[in-house]
Amino acid sequence: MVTIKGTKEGIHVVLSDDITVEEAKEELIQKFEEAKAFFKGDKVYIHLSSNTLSEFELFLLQGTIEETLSESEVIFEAKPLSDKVKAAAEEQAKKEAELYGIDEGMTRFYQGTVRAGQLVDARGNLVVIGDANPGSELVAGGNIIVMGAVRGMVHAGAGGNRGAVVVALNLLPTQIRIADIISRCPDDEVARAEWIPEIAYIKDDAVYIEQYLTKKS
Amino acid sequence: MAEVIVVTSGKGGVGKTTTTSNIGAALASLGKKVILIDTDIGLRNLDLVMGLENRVVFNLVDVVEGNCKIKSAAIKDKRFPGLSLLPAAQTKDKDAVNEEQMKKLCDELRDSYDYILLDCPAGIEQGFKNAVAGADRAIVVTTPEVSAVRDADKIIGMLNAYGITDHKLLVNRVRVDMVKRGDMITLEDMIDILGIKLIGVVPDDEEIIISTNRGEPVILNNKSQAGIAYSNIAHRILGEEIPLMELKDGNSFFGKLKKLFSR
Repeated sequence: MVTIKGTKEGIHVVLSDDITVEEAKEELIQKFEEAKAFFKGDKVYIHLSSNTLSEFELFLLQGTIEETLSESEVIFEAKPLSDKVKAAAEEQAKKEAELYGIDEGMTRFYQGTVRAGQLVDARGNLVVIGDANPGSELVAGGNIIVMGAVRGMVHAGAGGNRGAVVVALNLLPTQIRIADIISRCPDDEVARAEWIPEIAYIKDDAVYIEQYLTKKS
Repeated sequence: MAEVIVVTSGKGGVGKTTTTSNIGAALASLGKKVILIDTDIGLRNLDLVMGLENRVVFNLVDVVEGNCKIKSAAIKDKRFPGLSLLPAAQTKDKDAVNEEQMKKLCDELRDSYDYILLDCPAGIEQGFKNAVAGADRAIVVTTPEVSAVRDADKIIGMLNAYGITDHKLLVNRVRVDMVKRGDMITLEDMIDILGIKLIGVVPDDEEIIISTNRGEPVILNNKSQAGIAYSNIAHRILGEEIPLMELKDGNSFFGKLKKLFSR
């Protein structure tokens, strides 16, 4: 099967995995013969992709396309985007990365202890059911919730989202990062025996940590 | 122009990291500009022993891969002006860095420091090769045990093969009471087997464990025998001639008794 898609960067031709070179050749001739009149005299940017065919076979197929579209200028690379389009696309991607998984979206659940030297990361939110030991790293694009103690490094909102939070049943990280703000606990902090659920968030460019459950008076 | 010294041993647990941190701190307190590089990628400890763990943001792998500048990755130790630490990565493995990259890194750092100390991982695999690649000279750490001496011998052979012929022996964790009883391999025997020059002898000292767990170099403690020994080694690295200190018997009953009365 040959699938043809038009994109900003030109024409995307995707060959299915089960196709042979001969079949592809036949189908490509047929499809481009139909479009020949439409492209006449134009520059055509074509990107040919396949998971199974070799570079050489793709090269042969490029030749076939060139022959078929003999009255157009065929270029086998992505169409150079204008700076404006490129900037907009980058802006969009950045925005998506920032927003990913803060209110909804993918969440990764990790069960068990995260040990020293282990990195658990998630594009969206991250929920750890267990402890994160000293020397471990938790990194998420969204929020991080730990049903246990955090004693390692945590980085929430890693894509740049300053609205992300870290919540843990016992929040004693060696270092806490939210988006681009890095904070560490004071050097003279003593270990406490009691577990206190806490939430960390950003306010005025600083990481604030406060009790998640206020004691009932 | 800095000198690059690798602290290595072959065997694990003989005190490479403790040695690196204390010699580094001692050199810095003598007014030298020193950077310690933890090359034990995946099992980083040097930052922990120095009490700088919570200040780690970037690491060796970030620097080598060009994700950040050396300046932003190197942690300045506030207790010793002139002392910096480049921590290892915790979540990568030894193959994240290769020998050429380490060599290049050491050469880039040469102009900014007087001494570059590399804390080598245990073993003789990629991590060892990385650590040794950029080094000018080596300190081989061993303890008075047959296995540690055997591994030190192997390491000296490998250092020679890598063209590092300026290597000195540091004998760590010497228990004076046991030496006196004749239950421990003597210094003379070790030097005889290994055939390299001695740079220092560090006694087994409880203070080391205490200060390591607190994240403070033991040289800050002037009561500690081991601290004095490490300071002396730093002086010897600078080329001063300092005789080996007389090891006091701190662990025996009489030693403790003597200590008690001398207060």
